[in-house]
Parts: sequence; structure tokens; C-alpha cells
Amino acid sequence: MHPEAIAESHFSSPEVQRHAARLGMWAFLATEILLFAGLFVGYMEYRSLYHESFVQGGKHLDAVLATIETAVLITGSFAVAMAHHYTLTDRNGRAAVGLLIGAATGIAFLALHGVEYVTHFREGALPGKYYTFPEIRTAGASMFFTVYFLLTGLHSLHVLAGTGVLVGLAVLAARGTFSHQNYSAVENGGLYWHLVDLIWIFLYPLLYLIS
Amino acid sequence: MSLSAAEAAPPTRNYLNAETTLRSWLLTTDHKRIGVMYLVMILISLFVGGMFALLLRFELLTPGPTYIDAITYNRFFTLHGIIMVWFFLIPSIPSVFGNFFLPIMLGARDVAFPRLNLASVYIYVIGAAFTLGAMIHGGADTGWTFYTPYSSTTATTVTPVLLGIFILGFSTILTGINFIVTVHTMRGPGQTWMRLPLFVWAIYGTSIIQVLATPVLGLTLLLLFVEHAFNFGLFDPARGGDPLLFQHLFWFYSHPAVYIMILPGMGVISETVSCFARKNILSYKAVAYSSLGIAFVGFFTWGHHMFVSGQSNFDSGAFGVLSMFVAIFTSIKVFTWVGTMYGGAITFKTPFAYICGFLFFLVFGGMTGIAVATISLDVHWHDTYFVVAHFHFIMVGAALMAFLAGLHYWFPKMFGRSYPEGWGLVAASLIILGFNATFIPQFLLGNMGMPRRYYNYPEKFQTLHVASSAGATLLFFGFLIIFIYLVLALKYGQPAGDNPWGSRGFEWNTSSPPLPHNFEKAPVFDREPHDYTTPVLEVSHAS
Amino acid sequence: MAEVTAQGTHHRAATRYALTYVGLMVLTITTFLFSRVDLGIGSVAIAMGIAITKSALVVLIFMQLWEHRGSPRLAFATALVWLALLMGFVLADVHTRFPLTNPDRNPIAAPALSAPSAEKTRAGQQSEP
Repeated sequence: MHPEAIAESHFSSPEVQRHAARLGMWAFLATEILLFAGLFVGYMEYRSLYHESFVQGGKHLDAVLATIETAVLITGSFAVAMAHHYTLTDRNGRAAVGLLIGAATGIAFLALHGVEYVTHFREGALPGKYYTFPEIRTAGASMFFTVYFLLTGLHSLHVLAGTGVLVGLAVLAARGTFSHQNYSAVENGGLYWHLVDLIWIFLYPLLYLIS
Repeated sequence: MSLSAAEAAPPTRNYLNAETTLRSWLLTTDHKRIGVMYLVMILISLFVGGMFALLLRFELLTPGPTYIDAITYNRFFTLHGIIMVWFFLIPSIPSVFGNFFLPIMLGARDVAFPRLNLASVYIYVIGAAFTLGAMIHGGADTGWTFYTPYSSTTATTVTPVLLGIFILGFSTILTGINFIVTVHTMRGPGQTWMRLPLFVWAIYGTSIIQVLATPVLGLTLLLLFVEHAFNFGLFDPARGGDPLLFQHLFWFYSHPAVYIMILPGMGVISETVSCFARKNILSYKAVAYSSLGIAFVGFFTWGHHMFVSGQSNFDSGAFGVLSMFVAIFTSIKVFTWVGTMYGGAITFKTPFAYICGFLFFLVFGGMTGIAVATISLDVHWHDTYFVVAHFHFIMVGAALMAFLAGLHYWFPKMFGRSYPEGWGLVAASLIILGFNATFIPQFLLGNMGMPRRYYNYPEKFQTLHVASSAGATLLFFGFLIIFIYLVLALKYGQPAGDNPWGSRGFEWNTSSPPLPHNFEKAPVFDREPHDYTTPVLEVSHAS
Repeated sequence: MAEVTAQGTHHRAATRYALTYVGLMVLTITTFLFSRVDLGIGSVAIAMGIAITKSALVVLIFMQLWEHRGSPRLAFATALVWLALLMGFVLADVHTRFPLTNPDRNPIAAPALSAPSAEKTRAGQQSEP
């Protein structure tokens, strides 16, 4: 299957088609940024209203684990960038490996994050009416964890989706689909993955570090 | 100057009859067929939403309960708002006429991502299915604005409604992305940005709003869904949450959403006003740039919906001032359109009747918008029928009339047949008359203190309510007449010919109905758009 | 356009990505180490500054926005400006409201919903800039 080997008949050239696909993906990334925007705003509002709880809540989170998670995602981004690079030089095999490494980092991230969640479940640090954590009892304590779970939960859903995209692309690469004339899917799938990394680059300090 | 070009029969092979299997429609990637499918879906939505409106107006005929109870009344106005806003108005002009004509106006064979276009149709269907399911189970009673904490605690079926709108949002986003990329990358040879038809500028501006605003709605509905299901307290004061956070997030989308609803209509008016006045638009750049102006500045004004909600004075003041700015762009357009008509040779056909209605109602609706954007006045008018009348003037009086203008203007092009002009004018008169009768009393009611969304009211308001309900009935008959003659015209209408209006719009440089791939050979753009100083475009047909 | 024809270009791109990767890891460790030290408002500034630097590296190099001029840049920049717009007005509202309209409930201390009690210290719960 060579979806781009011949330009779709309604584009004036393959280069225009690639540009269109890229612009379409960037427009979609803009919508993803605005999707998370509201949650970041909610975080900032409640941080200023319940400063003490947010400071204590942040201290309670596992910053070391989060740092490892950050490193894992960055590694995935590097692998995906290299995979795109290899499609430009017709090396599908290496591209597949890069994409699979990216997918693996996604799964690793979700696993590590799952460990965090399990810890919070066990100690009762949960959103809203489920909050029973005895150590932080200041006003808005449950609100910190509400915002934490919503932000990281939405982000994790995107990591999952991104992982699926990378696996799909890896399968196509393993079949030798991509070339220096046909690489848009890897480029644009990679853009999505980098955005997921980008969002985490901000979640990490906001939730775990600034206490 | 005669309007008619050669009255040719519709070409033997066009996009409608090239393939006729059900599969060829359900799996089509032809932007024209997709436009027609959207037309059917939004007209159904208009009917359902309109039925809810009539049910509401019947209830309001008497001060006390007339035939339904209060909760049912709340459900009806909620569904009326949701269906009219999300299932009719927002998709109407972009998904029908934008899909059908954007590629043709650009000289392209299709939009940038035809399969995504088809996907957006099915996403609409799935979203509608969820909402229909919610209706059958009673529907939500929160109003289309879903304010918390009521919406997160009410027992009515909020969840499927939220999911339905959330899913529909993706349809909007995909359409917006598609159009933006199409305009950027698929313009024909010679077509610079300053040679784009003004309808394209309007659709482009609308698509930008759709892409930037809809995700915020998506998040807001998602959070509300989570709130309703698990009661985390994000928006619930009892748990330390801030209800105003919900309102900020909701209106950050919903105010630009009203520009999604009106801007395409303005594009239609720009196309039709120069055609029916036989004159070049007074200032192309004014209209083109003001479309972008509305798209961007419309985002800076959302807090004017929250003047009395507890928003800070600083924010209220800022939003009040910024709301004045966005009106400047609309005024520029109105002056340009009127200036275009002045000194022109008017052809008073049905689309022109709707243009007249549009201008009158846009100016009234817009001015009352400025009025309610004035904080001190809004304290009196907020949540009264004054606001209801204001937004219906814009949404029905302006946006819906622009849709009808476009429908009548482009009907011959889309289907190769003419509608009966006499009946067109009759229906337009009924609609304009009915509209005035429905909504002018509501301004008066609101000013006298009649609250919106109220099921009962004091006796002294009854006369005006009865007048409003009578107007609504007239409106219904007007729409019924339109529906009947358009359906009949599909089969029995006169063959329209390639350019029955003698328009200089680029989309008239195709056959009526257009060929499956729009053009025999790709057009070259060597003239300015809407240029009535040049002769009519000659359509080349295959011999 | 990132068409690769020469061996040199190939190595340059790969090297660029590798260096960016190393830079991102170094910045990650740096921000973690800084967070262990309490610098008051400085902590926030440093953490955000490093986050912005890291994201600039990802956007410009991994996402190739440095190479692709025009509309992709405009799309990304617009999204950021709109994010700032939403944030700005909402936070301005929260900080300039009549203070008693702000939520301040401690559901743990006072689970039953009643009028906000006078002894709840507003000062301790207001934001510090």
C-alpha cells in the first residue's frame, strides 16, 4: 500500500499534498492545546485559591517517579524524531524500530503513572467526595487531587492514543511503506506524539515540582 | 440587463446522477454530495428544533399551566436551544454551502481531506443519535447553557446530551480544519488571497473560530460529564469548586460560537448583494478584513454573558469595552452592503427579499446586542426576554434569513432546477412578517421584566405572549410553504441553466448541477471576484 | 522541506536530534535538582523557564517548526496566544473579585453545607503572588 506514492488527483503536486497534511495536523494540534487549556486554567485558579493545599499536595506526589516518566517520554520523542528521519532516507526497518521504541516508552509511561495512581488510591488521596487522605486536611485539599487526576488522566488518554498511532505506523514501516516520497504519515503521527510530550513538559513541573 | 443565460437542460451526467446506488451516497467523498447530505440532516434538525419552539409558544399562551408541566417546559427549551444551536445553526451554512461551493470557488476538485469530510457526516449522525436518545428518555432540563452546580446534580438525562454535543464538536473541528487547509493549499492558478470570493473569506474566518473555540467546549462538556457522574466538585461550591470557572470555559467557546453562526451568513449576503444589485462590492478589502476581525475579536468578549454572575468588576469592565469593538466590524460590513446596493440596479427576487430581511434584523439585533453589552443596562435585562429577543433577531432574523437567501440563490446551481419565484416571495413575506410578530413583543416583554425560561407569568404579559405565539405560527407556515415548493421544484422545477442570475460568482462557471469533478478543465483566475463590469462567465460544456 | 540527498545532511539531522535529546535530559535533571531547593518565587520562575526552554527545543527541532515557515507556525502561535487569553481573563477575574464570592470551603473540616463561617481565615487561603 502506497497511499502517497501518487498524489491525490485533487492536489497540484505531492509537495502541496505534504504541506496540506502537515498544516492539517498542526491545526489539529492547535485544537489539542486548546483542549488542555481549560484544565491548565482550572489548575491555576485553584492553586491561587487553595495555595496551601496545592503546595502540600505537590510535595506529596512522587517527584522522582515523575522525573523518570519525563525522561521516558523524552526518549520516546527522540526515537520518533529519528524514525521520521529514517523514512526520509528510505530506511523503513530503522524507522519501525524507532516507532516501536516510541510506543514502548508510551506503555512504560502509562505503567509508571499507574503505579502513582495505585498509591493514591490506597492512601485515599482521591478527587471530590472520595477524598479520605488523612495527612492533608486544609481547605481545597481534595481539589488538588481532582485537578491532578483530571490533568494526568486526560494526558494519559492522549498517551494511549499516541501509542496506538505509533504502533500502527510501526506496522506500516515494517511492511516497507515509507520512502522519501511518502513519509507524511510518520511525520504527522510524530507531531502528535511530540505534542503529548510537550504537554507533559508543563504538567511535570506544575504538579510535581513547584512546591 | 437580462438575467438568463441559455436555458439549457441539466447536463445528462452530473454529480447527482453519475452513480445512484445507496453505497455511492453513503461512501461518497464528493464534497457536493456531502453538502446535500448535510442539507437533509440540518433541515431535519431545523424541523425538530422548530417543533420544540412551537410547543413552548403554545404553553406560553396562558399565564398558568396550559398543557405541560414545568419540568417538561424546561426540557423543551433545553432541547430547542441545543438542537437549534449545535445541530442546525452552527453546521448550516458551512457544512452545506461551504462544503458544496468552497472547492468550486477555488477551482479545486474537492476539499483537502475528502475522507475526513465524510467522517464528519457520520460523526454528526452519531452525535444526533445520542441526543435523540436523550430526548426519548426525557432530556435535560438545564437550559442549553448547562450552568453548574445544577447541571452536575440534576437527575435528568444530562449525560447522553453532553456526549452527543461532545461528539458533534469533532464534526465541527474536522470541517474547520478541512476548510482552512483547502483555502491555504488548493487555490487555483491566479487566485491570490485578494481574489478569493467574499464567501470564502467568511468561511475561512468561521473555520478559524471553529478550530480555536470548539476544543474548549469539548473539554467543558467532558468535565461536566465527569462532574455529573462522579461529583468531584470541580464546579461545585459545596466541595470548594467555582461555578464561574464553568461559565468562563463555557462562554469562551459559546460567544465565538455565535460568530460561527452569523459569519457564514454574512458571506452569503456579500455574494448575493452584489449579484442582485448588479454592482461591484463597495469595498472588497473592508468586507474581507472585517471577516477576520470578527473571527478574532469575537474571542475577546465572552464575559459579557457573566455580568451578573459574580464576575469581577475589572473583568466585566474589560469585556464590556471589548464587546463594543467587535460591533465595529459588523457595522463596516453593513455600510459596505448598503453602499453596494445604492446606485445599483436591483433585481427583486426571493434572495433579495431575504437580504432586506437580513439587513433590517442584523441592525436591530446588533444594536440591541450593544445595548445588553452595556453593563448597567444588562443588569436590568439579563435573563429577561430582552436578551432572548436580541439573540433571536441575530440567529433567526439574520442568520436563518441568510441561510434562506443562500438556499434560494444556490438552489438552481445545486439541483439544476428553478424554484417558483412567486411562492418564494410569498413565503419570504410570511417569514419576515411572522418573525417580527414573534420577536418584537419579546423585546417589550423583556423590558417590562418578563424573565426568560419561565413557565408561568403574570396576567399583564399575556397579550404580548399571545402575539408572539401567533407570530411563531406564521413563521411555521412560511417554512412549510418553502419546504413544499423546494421539494416539488426538485422534480418539477424549470431547468435552471448554468447561470440564471447572471452572477459573476466563480461557482457559476460550472454546469447546473455541477459535474462530478466540478470542471472539465481547471479554471484559471484572471478576473476579480464579484466583478459586474465584466461580461458573464461562459460555461464550457463537453461537446 | 527536509528531503535528504547528501550524506552530510543526513548526519547533520541525526546529530541535531541527538544533541536536542541530550539537552532535554540535562534540563530535566536540572529542573528536578532545582526543585529540591526552596527559592520561593524563584522556584516557580526557574521551573517555568526550564519548561519553556524544553518545549522550545521540542517544538523547533523535533517538530521541525524551525524549518517549516508560514502557516504551521501561525497555527501554533495562535493556539498559544489563545491559551494566554483564556488564562489571563479567568485569573484576572479570580484575583479581582469581591473576595467573599470566591470558594473557600473545606469539606473535610465542615462537611455540612452552611454559610461560610467567620472564623475561617481568608488570609491563609488567599493567593500569594
